[in-house]
Amino acid sequence: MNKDSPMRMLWCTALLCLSAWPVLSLAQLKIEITSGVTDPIPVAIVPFASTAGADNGVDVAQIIQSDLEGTGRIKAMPRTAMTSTPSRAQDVQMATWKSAGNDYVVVGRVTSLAGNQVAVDFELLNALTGQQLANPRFTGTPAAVRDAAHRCSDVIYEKILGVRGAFATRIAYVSVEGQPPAQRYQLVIADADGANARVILESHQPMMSPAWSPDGQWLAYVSFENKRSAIYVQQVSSGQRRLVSGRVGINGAPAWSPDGKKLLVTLGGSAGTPNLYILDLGTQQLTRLTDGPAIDTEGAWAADGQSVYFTSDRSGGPQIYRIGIEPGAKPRRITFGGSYNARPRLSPDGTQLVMVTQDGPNYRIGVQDLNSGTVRVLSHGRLDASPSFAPNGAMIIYSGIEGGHSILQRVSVDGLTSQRLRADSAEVREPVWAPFTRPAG
Amino acid sequence: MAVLVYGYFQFRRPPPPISALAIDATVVSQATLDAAQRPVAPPQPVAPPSPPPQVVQPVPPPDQAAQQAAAQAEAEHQAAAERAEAAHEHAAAQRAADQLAARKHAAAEEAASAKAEREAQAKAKAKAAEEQTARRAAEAQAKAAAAAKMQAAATQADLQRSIAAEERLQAARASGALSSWAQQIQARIQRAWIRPPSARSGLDCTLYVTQVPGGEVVTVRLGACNGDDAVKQSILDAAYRASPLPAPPDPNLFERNLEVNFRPTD
Amino acid sequence: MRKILSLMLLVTVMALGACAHKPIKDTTPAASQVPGAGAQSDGAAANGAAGGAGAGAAGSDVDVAGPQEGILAQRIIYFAFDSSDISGDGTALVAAHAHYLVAHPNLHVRLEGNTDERGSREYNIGLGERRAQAVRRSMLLQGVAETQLSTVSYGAERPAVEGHDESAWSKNRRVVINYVQ
Repeated sequence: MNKDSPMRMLWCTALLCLSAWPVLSLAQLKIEITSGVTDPIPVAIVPFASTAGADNGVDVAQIIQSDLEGTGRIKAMPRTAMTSTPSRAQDVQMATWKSAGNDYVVVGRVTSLAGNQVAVDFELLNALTGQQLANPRFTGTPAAVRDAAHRCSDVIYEKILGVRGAFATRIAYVSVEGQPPAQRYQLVIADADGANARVILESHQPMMSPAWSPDGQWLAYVSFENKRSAIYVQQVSSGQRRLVSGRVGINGAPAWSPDGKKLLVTLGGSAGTPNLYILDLGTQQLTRLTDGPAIDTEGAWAADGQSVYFTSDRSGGPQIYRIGIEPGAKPRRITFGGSYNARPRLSPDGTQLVMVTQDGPNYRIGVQDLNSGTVRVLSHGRLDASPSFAPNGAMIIYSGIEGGHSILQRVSVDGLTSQRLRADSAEVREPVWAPFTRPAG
Repeated sequence: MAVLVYGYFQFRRPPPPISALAIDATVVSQATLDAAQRPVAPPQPVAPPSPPPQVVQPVPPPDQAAQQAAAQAEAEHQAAAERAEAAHEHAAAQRAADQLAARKHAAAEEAASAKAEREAQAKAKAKAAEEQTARRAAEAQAKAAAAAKMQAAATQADLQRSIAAEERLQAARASGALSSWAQQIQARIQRAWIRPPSARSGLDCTLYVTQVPGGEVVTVRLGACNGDDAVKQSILDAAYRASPLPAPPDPNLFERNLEVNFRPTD
Repeated sequence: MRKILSLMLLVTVMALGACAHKPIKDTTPAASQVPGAGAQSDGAAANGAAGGAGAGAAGSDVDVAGPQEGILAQRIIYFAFDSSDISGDGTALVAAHAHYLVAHPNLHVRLEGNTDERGSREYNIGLGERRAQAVRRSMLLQGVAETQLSTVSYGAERPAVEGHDESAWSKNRRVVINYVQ
């Protein structure tokens, strides 16, 4: 009986399949992506429609555009290039916006509601996938439209970049006018973009080192109104304040503990040797942290409240150290690059430390990664100072000298994008960014 | 991969030879197949064979001694011949008697053999019939075998073509054409992936992308991904931004389905 | 950008005019303003904590003219960058005022330490204090009584000359001898 033919068929088929196997695994070409870019994402922010007067004269889309472009991660489409200005998602002809080069489109409107209320609505659309990503509504008084615009920016930023926005937050800073010896000093709070500035303290004597409480309700600061330094805490909403330390010698560098119950302070005493102390705001108990003849000052709490970072020149010049708050703890040096590292502040996630670092003949803002020890110099000025992190850790505000005047600079943590805040007739300095006061989401 | 290579090379070994079959069957041997495959060279003109060289034998000279010997030999020969004749007559008589007996025997035998022959014939007939059936069956089988062989030949031809294509593919692979195309796609997607801050080292996301010839991305589908919503969005966006994807250097290499793994290293 | 500029301009205008919240003007501390800890001259607690001495040696806020004769009319000792060493003209000036104070034990001075603007502000408070303490130690060594001397540091907060170069900086690195009531 001839069995060869069908067997041969079977064998051939089997072997064909076997030989075809490498072809089958190739039927899904594998690509490995190990890096990307951080190019600005093109977004079209269409001017919001507004019923008469509802927006209180505020250009909501412009505020959103300034907020987002200031981060360096988003590039807004120029209004002159827009061929239509829809205000609702259903009116958006996505093909047009997509072919104009946009990845996302924002459309929105401001409408009056009963009872002197105003609603700000918008939709965020992905031009590439066609999805609608967000459509929140913010309501409030007409005076709060600007704040609502910032909250729109927060939502858009978080949806696109996955990081909580810090656009609806506040800053505080010191403003100085006039020439010596007749200077006028003011402590000012404002929106994070510098708008809505409000003076909360005014004096002919200097004030310095403002610090926000963790709940964003109080500012601690140093005032020389009595011709010597003293530390006060003041409730921002009411103006109510109290003196917390007016001891002989230096009283300086107040820093609130993460639980808001203690203040880290620098006291010099009559011997004039500045050291760190923890002052319990409830019990008034004072606990000494550092000792010795060196200058130890500019304390900043770690996020867990169990250790503090500070400036000390115990090794000859200013460097940054860390010490636990438990009794008997010894300080450990943190910075080793260069001859001048001072004024530490921690990022909200506790992994980065921003400071003033000497870069050649210049004083600049540096960020040190606490895990790796790597330092990046973020700024380019000659006399940059007083850095402070935004509460989302994505930006840093600091002061610098430009055109002979002291101004504020906001810079993205990658150092690539910055915005200036300046006053025409005043020197502005020592900015400090307030924490989030609303819950997330 | 080694198994696949081994299997591939296994297939490449020549198939086993075919054994000879039944009577009168037309056997299509491998050699015939091969011959059928290979082009046959046209017949060449053959030169006529040159005549063989002739050997000339020398004639012996006459000799007196030889003549006497010859006469004596002749006389002896005659005597022998007479004796032989007598023997022959005797033998003939004997033979006749024998022949008679033989005829009788033969007749008996003939009868028997006729019977046997009849039987044999019957047997032969039967056998012939059987053989014919067998022959027909064999013929049919042989035809089927022939057809199968033809088909096998055709399949083999196809196989050999895909072997050849596979060989070219392998050659292309070996020369880096495929990997260079993959690198081009990788570079395009990397430039198009705008990484959100939350896309840190440790991220592991897979995106299944389908393209049509020309490189246009037609579908994207997110597989397993340990990133947040913004990261997932950025990956989907990256595929659309990268469209159209670069064409392969050899059109044979085009692949519709891509598996893109996002694993940033910094 | 323009909006930011004009709004900041508005700040200064608003500061002069009516504000929703009345800014707090400088005041002298009164008892009612200091509930709880650390009053202005809480010498005991401060000393216990800061390890200093001289309770009640805080000195008053009232400046007086002080001596005007010859070298004594000069009140400023200048310092080199990052240094609290008294040298050259400074030594003579300190000696003159020390001599005067020894001769007038009822007089008090407040030694005000200052720095140039470079570097971080609170660290500069410490440097200013170091300079003031250097002058104080020198005076003590020359026989001035502890009770006659108080120090304060303004760091970089009260420059004598506005400017962002060495000509301004060199004028700001100083200790000012201020005669007080």
